[in-house]
Amino acid sequence: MKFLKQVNLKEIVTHNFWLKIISLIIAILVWLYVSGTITSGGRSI
Amino acid sequence: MEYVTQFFAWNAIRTIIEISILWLVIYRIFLFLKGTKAVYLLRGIIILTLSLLFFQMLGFPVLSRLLAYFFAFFLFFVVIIFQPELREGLIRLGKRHVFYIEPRKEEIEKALREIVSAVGVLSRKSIGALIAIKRDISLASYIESGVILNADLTSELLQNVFYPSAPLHDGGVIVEGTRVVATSCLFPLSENPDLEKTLGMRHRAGVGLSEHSDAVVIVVSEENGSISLAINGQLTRNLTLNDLFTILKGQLSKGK
Repeated sequence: MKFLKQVNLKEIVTHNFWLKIISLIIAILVWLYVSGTITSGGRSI
Repeated sequence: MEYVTQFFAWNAIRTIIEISILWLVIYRIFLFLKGTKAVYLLRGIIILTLSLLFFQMLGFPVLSRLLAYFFAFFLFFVVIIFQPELREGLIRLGKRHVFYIEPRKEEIEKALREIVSAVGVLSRKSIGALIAIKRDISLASYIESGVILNADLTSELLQNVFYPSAPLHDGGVIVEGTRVVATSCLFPLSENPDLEKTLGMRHRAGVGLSEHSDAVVIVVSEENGSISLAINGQLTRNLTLNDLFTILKGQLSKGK
C-alpha cells in the first residue's frame, strides 16, 4: 500500500514506456516461437 | 460444449499468464542492462535472436543450428565478462519493485543540496573528500572494493565519513540516487598525461573514475580545500558551491 501511495498508475505506465512495449513484443515473439516448437514436437531446434 | 468453452478459456488465461511472466522477466533484464555497460551488447543479442527466428521460420536447419550454437557460446562469454554487473543485478532483483521508479527530480535536488552542503563544510575545514555520483553506468566493481553503507544521504553522514580520523575516510564514497551506497571505494587512477603534475592521487582517482564510467565525481582538496568536479575525464577546478550545485543539477536531471 505504501508503494501505491508513492506512485500513481500513470507514472507506472509512462515510465520507460518504450522499454515496456519492446519487452512485451519480444515476450509475445518468444512465446509464439517456443509454443510453435512445442506443438511441432521440438523438431525445429 | 461447456467443457470445450472452459478448456479454451483456461488456455487463453494460461497464455496471458505465460506471456505476462515472460514480459516481466524480459523487462527486468532490459532495465538491468540499461544501467550497465552491457547495454552495448543488447543490440548484438537482439540481432542474433531475430536472425535465429528468421532462419527458423524460413526452415534453414543448418544456419539455425549454427546460430543456436554460436548464441550459446556468446551467452557463456557474456556471463564471464559481465560477472560483477550480473551479480549486482541479481542482488538488486530482490530489493526493488518490479516497476521500480527512479527518485523524483525534487528528491534528487534535495540529495544534491545535502552533498553541496557537506562539500562546503569539508572545503572550509580543508578535509579531503572524493564523492562519485552514479548515473547510467553501473559502478558495481568499485562498490565491491569498498564498504557497503546503503544509507540515506545526509550532509552530516558525508562529513562524518571523510573526518580524518574516521576508519572509513580513505577512498571514495559512491552515491546512487538518494542513497550513499558505499564508502572507502577504490577508484582507478587516471593516466591522462595532460593532467597537471601537481594533482594528487585523490584528483587522479576522481578523473580516472569519470573516464571509466559516466559518473560525476566531486573532489575536495585537503591541501587548500578547493572544490573540483570530474565529468567524462575532464576536471573543472576551483568551483564555488553555487557553481557546483548548478552543474550537478544540470548533469543529473538529464532524462529524468
